[in-house]
Amino acid sequence: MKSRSDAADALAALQNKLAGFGDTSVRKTYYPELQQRLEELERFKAFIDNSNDAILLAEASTGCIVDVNDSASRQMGWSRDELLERSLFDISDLRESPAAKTLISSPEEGDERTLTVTDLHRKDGGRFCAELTLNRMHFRDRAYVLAVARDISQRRAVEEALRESEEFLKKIVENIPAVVFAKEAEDLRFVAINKAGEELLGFSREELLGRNNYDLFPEAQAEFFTLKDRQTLERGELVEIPEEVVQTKSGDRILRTKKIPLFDNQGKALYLLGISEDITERKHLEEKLLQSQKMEAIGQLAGGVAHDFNNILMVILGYASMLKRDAVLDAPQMEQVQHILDAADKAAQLTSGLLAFSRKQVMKPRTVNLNDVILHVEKFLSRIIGEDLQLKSILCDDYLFVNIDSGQIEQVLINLATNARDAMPKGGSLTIETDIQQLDELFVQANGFGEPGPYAVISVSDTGTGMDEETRRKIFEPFFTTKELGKGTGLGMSIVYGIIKQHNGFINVYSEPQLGTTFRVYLPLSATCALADDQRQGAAPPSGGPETIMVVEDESALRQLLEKILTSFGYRVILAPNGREAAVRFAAERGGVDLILMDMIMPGMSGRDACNAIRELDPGAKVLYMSGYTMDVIKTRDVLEKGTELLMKPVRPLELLSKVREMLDRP
Amino acid sequence: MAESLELRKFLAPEFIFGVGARQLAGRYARNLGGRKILVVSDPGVVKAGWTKDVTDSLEAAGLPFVLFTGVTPNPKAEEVMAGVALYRAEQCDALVAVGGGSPIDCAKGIGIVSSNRKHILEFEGVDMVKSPMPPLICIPTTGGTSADVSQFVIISNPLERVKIAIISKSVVPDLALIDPATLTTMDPYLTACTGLDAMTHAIEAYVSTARSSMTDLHALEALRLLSASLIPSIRDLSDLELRTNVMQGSLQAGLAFSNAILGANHAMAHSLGGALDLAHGECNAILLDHVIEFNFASAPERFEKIAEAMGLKLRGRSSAEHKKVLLQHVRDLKAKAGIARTLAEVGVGRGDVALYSEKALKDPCMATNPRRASRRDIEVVYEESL
Repeated sequence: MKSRSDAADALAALQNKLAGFGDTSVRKTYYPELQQRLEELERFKAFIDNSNDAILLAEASTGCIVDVNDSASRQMGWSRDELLERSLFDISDLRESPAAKTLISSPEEGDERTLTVTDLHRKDGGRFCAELTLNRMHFRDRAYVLAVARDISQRRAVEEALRESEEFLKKIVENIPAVVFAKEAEDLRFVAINKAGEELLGFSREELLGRNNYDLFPEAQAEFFTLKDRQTLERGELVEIPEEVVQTKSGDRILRTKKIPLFDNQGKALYLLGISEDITERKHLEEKLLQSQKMEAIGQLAGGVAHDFNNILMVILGYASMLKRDAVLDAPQMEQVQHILDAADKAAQLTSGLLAFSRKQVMKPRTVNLNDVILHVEKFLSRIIGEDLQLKSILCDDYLFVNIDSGQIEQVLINLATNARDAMPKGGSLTIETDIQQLDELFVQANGFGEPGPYAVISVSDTGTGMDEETRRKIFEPFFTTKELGKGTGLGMSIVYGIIKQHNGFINVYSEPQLGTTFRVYLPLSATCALADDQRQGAAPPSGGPETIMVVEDESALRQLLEKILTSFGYRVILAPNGREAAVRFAAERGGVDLILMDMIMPGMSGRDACNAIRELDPGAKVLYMSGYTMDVIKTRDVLEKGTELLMKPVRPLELLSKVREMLDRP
Repeated sequence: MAESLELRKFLAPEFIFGVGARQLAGRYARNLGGRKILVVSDPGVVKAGWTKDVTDSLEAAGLPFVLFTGVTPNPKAEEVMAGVALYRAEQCDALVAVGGGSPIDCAKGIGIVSSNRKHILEFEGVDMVKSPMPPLICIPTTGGTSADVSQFVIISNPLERVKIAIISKSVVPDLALIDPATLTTMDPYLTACTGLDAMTHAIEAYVSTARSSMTDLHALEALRLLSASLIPSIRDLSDLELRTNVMQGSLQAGLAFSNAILGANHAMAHSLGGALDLAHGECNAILLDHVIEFNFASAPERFEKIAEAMGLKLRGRSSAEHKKVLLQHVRDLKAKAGIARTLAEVGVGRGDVALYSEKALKDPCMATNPRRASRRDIEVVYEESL
């Protein structure tokens, strides 16, 4: 029975459904699907509307806007309808972007998407900068462009502020009046340098960056720098280098440097930061101060001792004089007493020299003719220098009236002669010359010593071993000596210095190793001296000229000085640091050089040889030699070729200029 | 008109006829995709309890709903717009109308406006509704206006004191649940008015210039049913069988006129109804015999068929007598139904006739009247009805 009722039920159910009464029997049921789609669509629209970015849909080719989200409307001020009346080009500067223009206007060409930055125009006329992504899209066989715009005005402002801040910091570093540099920690190559650094080292930024110490400096210096760099990086803290020497294009400079490592966030040292101060000038001043303090101290000591010593000498001299007057003694004993007197005299001279050195000596100045003083001491000098050396004196014709203590000046000459003798162990010659010179402001400026005025000049020259730069600098230092221990006190030259200083004079040293030395002593001419007045009235300043002068001089400071003097009087100057360069430059100028100013003694090709090389190119070339070395004067005076002249160092600018003018004016 | 050569369209909604049909509201509301239902009804129907049956059905189907009952007889434009506001505010997505022509036409109006987003009065005319409305289920409680199956919406514009007609295929509901049980609470006056309205539908559809064989079938059968059952149903209000016949008659009359359209009677009744706010059925009834008289000569054989369908014996009588018999029958019918007032008795003056005539002429229903009427013709008919 059950199955029958089941079947009946089933039939009934079927009939029911056929009659249209099934549970889901309804003609059209697309409503639920439509509804769902609609809801999804509305939710989609809602989330598009809520995006912070402005989203616009435009027709391809025309760029006409067909749909926008709320953000677009809100950010740009146009209503939805107003935007639908416009194209993407109307509301932006997209026309100015070729990629954007192609993407929108030419659907067949170019990329499918592009990112561009452009200004968007607001309804109120305002603009804002936006980053726009453009995407081509297709929907139901129609081509569109989807534009998503993000307002980047804030980002821009931040970027701008950052850039300004960076510029500012850069400016600060650049203008710090000390050398600031940075190197990367790995190979210690320069990664940054400021203007002060460029100027000091004489390299441009481009030449420096990417190079390390070994590329830029001599090996010894580079090694030192690298050692300190590594030390800084390893220690991880500031390292102070009170003094280091660095080679630059304008010579060696002394720097006080601080090096600091720069770390990244993990504490690893990435860079080395350095700050250097150029203390060269300061160091020189410090040295000079030290020097003068030393001298002062020594002077005081010497003065003290000499003073006491003098008193003792007085006693010896006293009693010896008394013995001499005693008629009781015979001739041989009288001679012995004389020896005691002579020796005591010498001792007195020595102490008076010491006192002069310490400026404590009471000077007994009298106006005398300097030439007479020299004549007077000549004999004594011959005895000092011995037989192996030749003594010559060349005294000027004029009367050299000076206000001096002759005894002290004689002491000066004695000391200088002694010095010269010690420099000529294998023999040689000693020459003494006198002359008048007018020192002017230019001379003072050029040479760094002196006071303007008329001077009597004594030159003492030898053909000895000469002195190097260092020795020359220290020659007047008390207790400085190049002699072995026990030979000489090292006080001789300090005494000379002291005496000259007390006489308001100056002393200058010119020396070439292996050739010889010349000392020049300048003593002010007596004011009463008629000649002094004549000299003072001197010639009118020489005239300058437009000619070209080649200056050949190996000492760079002097080379620059000569250039300055000549150019200030209108001459065009070509510089050459040595003879070989001089010949090359002369050839290159093709007859454009009117005069050659040549140092006699130079390394490599000597002045003489250079002159010969030039004479081969132009036999009539005018050459003016320079030398501080009086021996040369002698030699060359004898074989001075036609068209060459000689000028003494230290250079007297006015004399140089008038000589130059004179030579140029010659046919 | 040679019918066979001309094209005729016939459109009917999906409908379920029978006692208990109203309980299927929930099922079909869900099947049509509804998730939040606006139920449109009027206070009378609510009082009768039919609205609750429907909302219970919705609840049983798990569908939330909102009830809108701000509807008066002859639904007004602002009532429609208020309904739209509620529909939107409650985010409804389907409509269920329970009641007579008023709630149903109001619900149709709400549907039109919510999809097409214009004021209801802008849709006056034929084929003016472009976008289809949300799913609409109609549950008529009168027999009737047949708005539950028709392509008509009649909305009053009280400002201008006219009724506008919106005629569109997209206005035909998705589903009609035609439950004769709902007629049992109608009082005699309402039964008479709605029944006579249905008869007028059938008569006008049968003589309409747009009639077809399909509509003729339904129109005649409707007349037979109504003629046999209407008056008895007024006498015995609770007889379900009688009510069922009346309901069926109304349904068929509705199918007929929705597709064949109407005529002068309705055009003139709309004109009156807009101004007087009188029951639509009564307006039609007052004019019926006078309009038949006016039209008779233009389609005599049709009217004879009508007379036969109404149970009148015409054999052996002359044509002139046919007309007389029919007119008398109609008058008797009106009297028996209790709708015997004249136009004058409902407040129409001779001076108003001109205005009414002008409005009636503009009504689309006038276009399918068997006889072409001039303004004067209409005025005369109004005058005769006074």
